[in-house]
Amino acid sequence: MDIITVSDLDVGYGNATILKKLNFSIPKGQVTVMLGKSGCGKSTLMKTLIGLIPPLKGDIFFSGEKIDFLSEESLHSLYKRIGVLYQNGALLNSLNVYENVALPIRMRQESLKREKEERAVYQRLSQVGLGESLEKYPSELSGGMRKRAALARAMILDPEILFCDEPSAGLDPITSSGLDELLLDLKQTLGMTVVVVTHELRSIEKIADKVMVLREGEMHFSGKYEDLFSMDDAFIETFFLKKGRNHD
Amino acid sequence: MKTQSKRFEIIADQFLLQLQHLRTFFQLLADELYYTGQYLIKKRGIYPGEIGKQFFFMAYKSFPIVCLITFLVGVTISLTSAAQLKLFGADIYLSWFVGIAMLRELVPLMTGVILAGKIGASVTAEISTMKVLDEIDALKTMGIIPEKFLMVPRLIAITLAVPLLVAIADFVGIFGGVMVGRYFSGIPPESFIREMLNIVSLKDFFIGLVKTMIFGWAIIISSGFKGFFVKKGAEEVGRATTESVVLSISLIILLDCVFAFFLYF
Ligand SMILES: Nc1ncnc2c1ncn2[C@@H]1O[C@H](COP(=O)(O)OP(=O)(O)O)[C@@H](O)[C@H]1O
Ligand SMILES: [Mg+2]
Repeated sequence: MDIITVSDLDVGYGNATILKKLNFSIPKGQVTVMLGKSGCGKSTLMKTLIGLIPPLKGDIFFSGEKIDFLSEESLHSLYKRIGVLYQNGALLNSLNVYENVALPIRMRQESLKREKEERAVYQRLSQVGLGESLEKYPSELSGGMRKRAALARAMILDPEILFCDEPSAGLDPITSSGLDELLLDLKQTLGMTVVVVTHELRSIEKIADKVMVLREGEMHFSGKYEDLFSMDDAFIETFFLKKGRNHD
Repeated sequence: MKTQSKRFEIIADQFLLQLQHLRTFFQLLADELYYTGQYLIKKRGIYPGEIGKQFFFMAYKSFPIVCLITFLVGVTISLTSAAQLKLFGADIYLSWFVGIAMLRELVPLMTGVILAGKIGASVTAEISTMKVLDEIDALKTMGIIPEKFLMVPRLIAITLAVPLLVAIADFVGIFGGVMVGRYFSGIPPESFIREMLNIVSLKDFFIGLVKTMIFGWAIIISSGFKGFFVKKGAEEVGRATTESVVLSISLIILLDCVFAFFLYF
């Protein structure tokens, strides 16, 4: 079953179209990976799917319901169902790590008891390996730590769909593979749908159920991971060979 | 002929763009009033403890400079007028002039300008940086309304900080006048104050207070307006900050002029 479907979607800013004529769907309870060269519009597409940038053309359906970008109500019910890890983390600089991760709880479930909040926050932070850095402020963290704290914040309320923009960029291979395990675990135990933008061949191999490749303003490939290499496609081959070589 | 119509088109576009900006500004103002009212009733939607933090920041940050500037202005304006009054042998009326000018006009104006430079600039810088770093988007997808979450605490904090600053500034400014009266015109401080209280009343204090409060709100709204509408790029943060200070100060002077008409015309 598909949780998101888009039809004839053009995305971009104002009069600059970045990606056009997109038709794809995101299967429920699976991991979908988006890839493409830097600057090809992956983050823009993700921001469109999560209701932040109105599409230039076409519609987005969440569980069969069309997102109405003009209606606050429609957007808010969408926001309730998603968790988002932004490309640069987007933690609030005025709050420390603990407070950042607890923010969605404090703003949405005000009645939650303090101990329950603490337990949830500790659990998420130790899952991303930040159990020790609760009191630190974002400016005192490395890029990779900020990303991981932001991931903890994105999943604190167990959203139906988790969007991750380059979660493992800037991480060492061990931490990065730990994050892959975590995403798989969320999928398996909670049935969470995960949408990931990533370039890491290793993690794509490990986590991807479905792959979408963006190229030159269009969807170049969209389908099962297994079918990706059977296509015999020059772009995909160079993309992966180049990436692969960088890592080995 | 053709270039002329083109030029006209450009001017018309510019004009429409400015109108659009004006609309956005008033839209933001209306939203903020609504959100503040909503917060005061429901006590939800802003971060716990944020008002106190902002209040402390605003009062503490601007306190020394407000004191210094209003004292200097008090001294300057007193010297200027004392020199003129001396010519008519009307030295004692210095206290009238200083009292009214400080309470009604100079303290609100100077406090407003200082707040625009200190608080307004930092609000714009903070909000526009958050915008550039996707923090505003992150707030939205967490179900938080950024225009409420970020602005309401600041609006309430400035409402609380202004009376404090105005009271201190009035005191310090008049103190400057007393000093000039004492050492330049030879008026003993007791006579200065007694004479001043003959004409200056609590009403003057409140007029100044209300004016400064409205300037404060104008500053916060202008700063939010410039901060939230930054699109991308760190270089825009600097530009937005400068523009926000210019906008705040222009608004303060415009509003001051409107007040003068209402009060004296
Ligand atoms: N706020 C914006 N306004 C206009 N253009 C933008 C904005 N943000 C990004 N872009 C442009 O959109 C294109 C895609 O950017 P992005 O989605 O960030 O790419 P990716 O995430 O794939 O690296 C780039 O050419 C970028 O310059
Ligand atoms: Mg990106």
